[in-house]
Amino acid sequence: MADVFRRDEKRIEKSERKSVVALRKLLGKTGSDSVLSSFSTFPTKVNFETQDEGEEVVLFLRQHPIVNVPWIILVIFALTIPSVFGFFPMIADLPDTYQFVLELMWYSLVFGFALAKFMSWFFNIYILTDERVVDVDFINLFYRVVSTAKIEEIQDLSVRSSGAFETFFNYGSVFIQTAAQVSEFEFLRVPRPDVVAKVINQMIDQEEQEKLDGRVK
Amino acid sequence: MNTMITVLNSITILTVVKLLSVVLMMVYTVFAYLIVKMAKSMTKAVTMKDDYIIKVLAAAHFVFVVLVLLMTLVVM
Repeated sequence: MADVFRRDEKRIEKSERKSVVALRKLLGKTGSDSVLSSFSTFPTKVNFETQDEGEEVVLFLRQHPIVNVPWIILVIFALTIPSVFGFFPMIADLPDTYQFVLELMWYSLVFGFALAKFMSWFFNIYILTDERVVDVDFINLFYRVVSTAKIEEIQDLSVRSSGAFETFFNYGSVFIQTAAQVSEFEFLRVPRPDVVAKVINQMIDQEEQEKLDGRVK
Repeated sequence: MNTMITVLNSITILTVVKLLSVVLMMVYTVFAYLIVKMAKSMTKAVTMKDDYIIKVLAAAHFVFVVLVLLMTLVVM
């Protein structure tokens, strides 16, 4: 009796692997696996806390790197500010040691601002596995939301790419309506939104096919 | 009363600047420490290739802030 169960488990596992293999064949490997990558299919070494055994990450997304440009410009501007400290009489009248420490304080604040902004981009992650959609929203340093929905719960999908920047740099937003507790997933300003939508559609098709084949998860 | 007036007279603009700087840097050091904790917990929640970089950056920021706090206490 136990052998029969074991055989069934093996069959299910084999069937799951088949689905991943099919997706891999369908999508291929695109995007880089570098630490700053914002689009990658079947990335290596990407795992998340609630990932099930055998569940494989199909697509890994972040916002397009171009969204970082405004704060980078602001940081560069902020770094030049200490050079004009001398023009403020209140600071210019202070001893040199005080001015030096105030400059260091300013640089540490700018470093902190840049780090917070970078972290909010770095940890704002969208993951598609062969089973579900995972949206990690890193709102700020002290507030984050992780939402998940099964692929079979996806009801509707829409892509929005508007404006000169989004068209030129090929990025946009993908909105996923689901029947899960979180009714809408927003993949904001991700690269190649049309490809992302295509991947999700293919995964929905595959999930439906697996349902028809009678695969049990 | 005389002692109080003497203390108040001894307060200079430099003392006020130092006091404010120390308070600001102390609060900021706590903030920098929280960034380190956050980076640690996020890299635990989502593991990525070479994500140690973010932990190194957070730690470097914390060390820098502590050094600036020490300089504020010693140099000013």
